[in-house]
Amino acid sequence: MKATLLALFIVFNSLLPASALDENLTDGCVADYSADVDYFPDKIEIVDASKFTVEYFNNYKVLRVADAFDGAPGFNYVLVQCGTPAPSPADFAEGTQFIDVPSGDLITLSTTQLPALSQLGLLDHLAGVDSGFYISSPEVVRMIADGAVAEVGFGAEVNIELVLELQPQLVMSYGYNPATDAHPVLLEAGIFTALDASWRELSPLGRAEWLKFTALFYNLEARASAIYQDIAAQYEAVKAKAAAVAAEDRPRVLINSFLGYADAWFIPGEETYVGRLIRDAGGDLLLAEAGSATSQGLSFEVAFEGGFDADIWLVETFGIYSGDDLLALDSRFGDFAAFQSGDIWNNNRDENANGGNNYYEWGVTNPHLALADLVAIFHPDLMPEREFAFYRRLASE
Amino acid sequence: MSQLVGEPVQPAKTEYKWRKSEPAALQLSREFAGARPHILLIMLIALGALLLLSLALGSALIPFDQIVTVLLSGEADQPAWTHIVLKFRLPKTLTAMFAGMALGVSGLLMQTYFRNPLAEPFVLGVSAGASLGVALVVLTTGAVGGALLAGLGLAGDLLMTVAAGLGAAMTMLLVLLVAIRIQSSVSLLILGLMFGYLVAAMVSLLLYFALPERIQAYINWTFGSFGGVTNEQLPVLAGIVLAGLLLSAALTKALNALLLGEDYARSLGANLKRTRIGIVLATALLVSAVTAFCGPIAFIGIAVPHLCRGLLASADHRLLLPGTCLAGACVALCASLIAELPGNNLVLPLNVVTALMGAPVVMLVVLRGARGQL
Repeated sequence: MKATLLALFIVFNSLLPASALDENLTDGCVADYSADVDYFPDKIEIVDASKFTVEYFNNYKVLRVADAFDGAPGFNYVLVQCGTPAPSPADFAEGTQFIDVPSGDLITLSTTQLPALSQLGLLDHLAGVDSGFYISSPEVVRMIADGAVAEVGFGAEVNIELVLELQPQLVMSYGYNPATDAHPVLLEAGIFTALDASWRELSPLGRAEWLKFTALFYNLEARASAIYQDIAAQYEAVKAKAAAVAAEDRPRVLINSFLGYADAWFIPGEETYVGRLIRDAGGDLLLAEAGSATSQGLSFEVAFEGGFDADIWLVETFGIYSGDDLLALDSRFGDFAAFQSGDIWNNNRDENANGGNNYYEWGVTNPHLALADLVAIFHPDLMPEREFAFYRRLASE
Repeated sequence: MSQLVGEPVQPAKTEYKWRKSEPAALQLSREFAGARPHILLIMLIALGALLLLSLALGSALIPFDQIVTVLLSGEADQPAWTHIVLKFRLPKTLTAMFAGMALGVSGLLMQTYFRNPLAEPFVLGVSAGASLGVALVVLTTGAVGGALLAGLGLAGDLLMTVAAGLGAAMTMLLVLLVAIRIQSSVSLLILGLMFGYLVAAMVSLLLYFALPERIQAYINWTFGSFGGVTNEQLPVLAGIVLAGLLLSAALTKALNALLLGEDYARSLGANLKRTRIGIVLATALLVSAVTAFCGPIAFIGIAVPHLCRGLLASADHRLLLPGTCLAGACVALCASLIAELPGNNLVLPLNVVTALMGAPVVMLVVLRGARGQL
């Protein structure tokens, strides 16, 4: 009897050699672990993102997030194939979190994390969000209305009891200010919390590539890579169109959002996310600091001096839907040349009832859409038929 | 008499030593001797210079001859410059002037009425009351897109001012009610502070339930700025401030009498009730207009009256009122100039500058008071 079993075992093993897995396990656990098997035949390669890295081992992957917020320490995660032994915590830096993958239910604390879930087909795993108030995704809104998805707070301010009750395997948070962030509280409560640093990425494609970060927790590397490749190709195609424009035909673009105190304008630097989008769309950003990856506060006077004759003005400000809204803000805005020529735009075409802007949700993982919008604004002849995804012209009624 | 006993509440530099043998009027005239009214002229000249400087200096570098050309109704070499001088610097300069006048005078009114050197709209929570009014309007009405004095047009400006005025007047009334019963200036200050905290808590509660963008608009407003007022809005601000100043001017005599305490003021024929209403009304007008248009601006109200008493060497309101007007305008223009950091692209929040300028004056007053007591 014993010999028969042994023989069967040998035969079985020879039928399943070490390289037998030809795709990642996206469902369930490994029943018969073998140290020689590579459990992650599908691996990601990070192309544009710079804030996370992943290192593959046979039955686990080590995920590292850097620069999650100003002065952030490195965050390390060990993602262990479920059903296989986890490596010893002693071999990793203190604070390293361990999680079995493919993971189960998750809670997201930022709307920017939702598109990846729907693109990867993971919405069934969504147990909670921070708040539905600003969410654009119709599926998620419906799930909240049906009670399938709970609301646990607002941004990084979470109600820890609600989170504990949902028993998520994974919470996707983000860091901003460790004194008020959710992650120290969640970690204290023993909940696996992954920090999403995508908002720190400066390249539009780099930010979109964070879809792979989410995919790592569900062994969906192959699907994520395919989706990303498609997005990147579309982005590059649009960019190539705009790059063909002669230097003198590039419009001078003023872009700002009124987030500073009364008379300060915040103008993004050339190397910021927005600065790169404008450049890739074939526009010249006015007043931008060369080589700067941060925004600078300028006085209204200086902004006017440098921007009053801009060809196009992108007013990326909440609640502005028309030229009149802009005039109500300050009558002096009417003196800008772009205002008079009607070339003023805002990125709030696709908003939910509460003013939650899909540009900051779907647009983040699909930068090619925002880029194509911008190209159509800067060079209408290149995209005459463009149906805008996020931008609207602010007409004066 | 009883009011004069207790806390020493003399303004800096001036001591009121009451001698029972002399009639009050005689004492007042003695107190007002040695004043330096010619300083007013110097202040006026300084104001003129600062007005010009404020028009000439800004973040954008514009040659002085171009400024003069524009002011003499010409066109600058660059169209942007004409625009900057006429639509940015002119309203900003005039706003700073009116706001400075209003804050200086309201500080003076309150310091005299409460006979407390630290009284001013900000310290006694009156600004906080105005803030509550503004918060109610901004956070609950449809003021759009981070706009503060916007979205509702001129009607919005007036609504904001009225709300700020009601908030200021309510707080002022509360402080007055308490002041009738409590003579101790320290107690009054503490109560004022507590009013401020209470109101701040209510504002926080409003903020907690407001949309983030509205919160941003409110927070921006709290930084203070003279630059948000346009030429269309300026007449509203100027009109309300001038009304408040005229009312204050009508109170000069009563304010002088009040220096000797309410009992003596009454014996000198002052109608206390009318004076009290006048002071509340004037302060509410002055503080609400400035707070609604420029934000809760700290320290100008407290520092300027002390500065004036020192410079003019007098406690006579016939001198102090124009003095605080002029000095307030000068200080506000200075603060505005510093906040602008001429030649630099950046702007500092106005309240940072006023605090840096005003806090040392307050410290000086407190230290002097402490030395006098020891």
